Amino acid sequence: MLFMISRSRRNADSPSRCAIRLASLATATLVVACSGSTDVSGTWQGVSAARGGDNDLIYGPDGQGVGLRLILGEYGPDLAGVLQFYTSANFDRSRSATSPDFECACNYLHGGRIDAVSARISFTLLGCTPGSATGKAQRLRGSFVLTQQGRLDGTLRVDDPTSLLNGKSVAVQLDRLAQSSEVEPSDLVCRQPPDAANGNIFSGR
Amino acid sequence: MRPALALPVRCWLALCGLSVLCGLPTHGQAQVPVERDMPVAASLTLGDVPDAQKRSRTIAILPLKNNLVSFGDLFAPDAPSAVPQLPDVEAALQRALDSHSFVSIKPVGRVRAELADDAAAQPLARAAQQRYRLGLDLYLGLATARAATSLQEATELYRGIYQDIVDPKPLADAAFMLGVSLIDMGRAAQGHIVLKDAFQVQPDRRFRPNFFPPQVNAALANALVDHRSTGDPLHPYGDNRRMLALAGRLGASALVLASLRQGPQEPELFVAIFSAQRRVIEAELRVPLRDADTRLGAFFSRWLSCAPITQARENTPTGREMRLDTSGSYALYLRQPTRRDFHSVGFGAGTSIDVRPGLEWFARLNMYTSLSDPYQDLLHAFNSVRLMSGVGFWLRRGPWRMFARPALDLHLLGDFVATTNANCKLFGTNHKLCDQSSLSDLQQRVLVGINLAVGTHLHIGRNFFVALQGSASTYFLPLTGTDRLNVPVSAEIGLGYRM
Repeated sequence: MLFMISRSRRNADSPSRCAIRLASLATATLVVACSGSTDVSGTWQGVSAARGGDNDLIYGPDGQGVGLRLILGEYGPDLAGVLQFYTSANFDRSRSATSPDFECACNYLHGGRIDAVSARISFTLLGCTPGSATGKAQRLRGSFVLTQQGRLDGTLRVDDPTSLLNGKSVAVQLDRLAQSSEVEPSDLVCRQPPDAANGNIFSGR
Repeated sequence: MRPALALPVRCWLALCGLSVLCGLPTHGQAQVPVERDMPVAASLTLGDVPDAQKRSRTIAILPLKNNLVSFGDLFAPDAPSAVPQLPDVEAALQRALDSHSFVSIKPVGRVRAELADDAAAQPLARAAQQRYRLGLDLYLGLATARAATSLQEATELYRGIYQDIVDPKPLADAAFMLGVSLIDMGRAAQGHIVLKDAFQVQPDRRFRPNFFPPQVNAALANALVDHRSTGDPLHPYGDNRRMLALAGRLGASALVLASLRQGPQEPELFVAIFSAQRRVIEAELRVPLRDADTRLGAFFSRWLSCAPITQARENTPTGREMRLDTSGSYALYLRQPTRRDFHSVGFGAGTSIDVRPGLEWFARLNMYTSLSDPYQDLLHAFNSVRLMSGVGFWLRRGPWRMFARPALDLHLLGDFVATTNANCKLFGTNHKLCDQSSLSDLQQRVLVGINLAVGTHLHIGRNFFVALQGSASTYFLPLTGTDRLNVPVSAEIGLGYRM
């Protein structure tokens, strides 16, 4: 019987190898297909341009650029996340309760989507923008694309007919700061301003 | 998530190890006497049948054929043997087989005695002897044609009772005389064939030089040359059909056929094993005669490990067989609240007991770790336990045992929470942005349903088997909740032991 088995193995050698190759190819295809080459989950950050020129939307108290930190979670075609502003370009000082425009420190993303084919993400957020805050929440639309260099290039544009800033935009380039596994739960918290109970609800919607 | 995945895998490996340790083969069990009319369940090899159910294989050793007479000695009956100290090959064959278990040997002496003592053969032997004597008388009386007819009848009668095995000389005498008669009649070609066959019956036959006329001596020499050059050393007693009939007469599952021939350098031993079940020469050996003692043991060992062994149906004392197995398992839910499939891996352990032929009771326990889907709609991996039990149906075909098992399926779900809301996934289910209505929470719920499994057990040796199984379930209790998660299909592969 052993002889017969070994003979049949020899006879079936080519089909077996073929099957193994096909299985390997299928596995490799699955791995590549499922690996999520457009994964944008994690922390991204960049600095806006100073006031003037193309930027008359987001800037610091003295017209300098502000830091933007975008924390994203990608779930298939859906995105969730937080956009945070820093007064310093070094990202060493978050906007605080003593800052004149504290309420613009943090905004949650809404309706985030990602197109895996074009590596383009889009979202909206409801809040104010530092620098040109009008004291009123306004809707912004973010649109970014993941470049081959691994950066997020895009714009933030006010898309709110009720806002005086409607149509204004700022171009932003964001570099990856951390992977999704390095994001702490505390990074995702948008603190309520102390006077939120009195009607200051610009942040964190 | 990592420890939850690793735990079932570790458990499975541990169970596999335990199964192997508990199922060590039991050597040295008492051999069971041969039962010639024993019902045979299937064609299995030594490793496929539990020791307790094995029946000894009866192996008959046929007399050695000695082809070592040199051509020069054909007409020198008093010449010394070409191999003065010929080893006892038949005894060596018996010794080599004796060391194996589940083998019942019929040595040459017993084979001869059984054939000679056959009450039905004795009148035929007497009739053959009468035909031979009559033929010889007719030949001496120059009635050659009638002599040939009588001698032909004698050879056929002798062959029918296997006289060439009991004592080849009477058959060889009749055959040689038949050949000589045919040559005298001018039928040289036919005579040559008969003489050649006669040398196959008694290859070490010698003749007095002046007993036959020169043309007959020449014909004898030519026939011997032809026999040596074209005779099949693996069939010294005839073709497979005759061997099959002989095996049936002896109640043997295999015949050992041995012959000696002069090789290029030294005498060689040819050994062939005829299998009555497969009806072919199943194994063959060609070895220098001086190495026979050392090589025969390994030869028989190799053959016996693959040769069919018989197994009695009624041999299981109660008709019940218990099986244990463990397996690696994979499952997929055909109905699920997630947008993409999530995969479940784990291990299973089961047992089954035959309650009557074709029917079994079984129970199976599966533990799964379900991994999150690509969209992470399943918020985290969770563990679940399934218990299935029922009455199954099985069918055995050789080493394969196929089964179908309908069962009741109890499924204890672990921490199952799913959503398609991205905010719930990133910020947590308690966050204000997480829409609670988007959550599917089946945490700690028990699902009840029915399961159908089909599969097979392939016996791989001793009492071990490889288990393959596919199954599907559908849940109908509780009345709410089964619409979100239902119809798991699973595949399992593992290792089992039967007792």
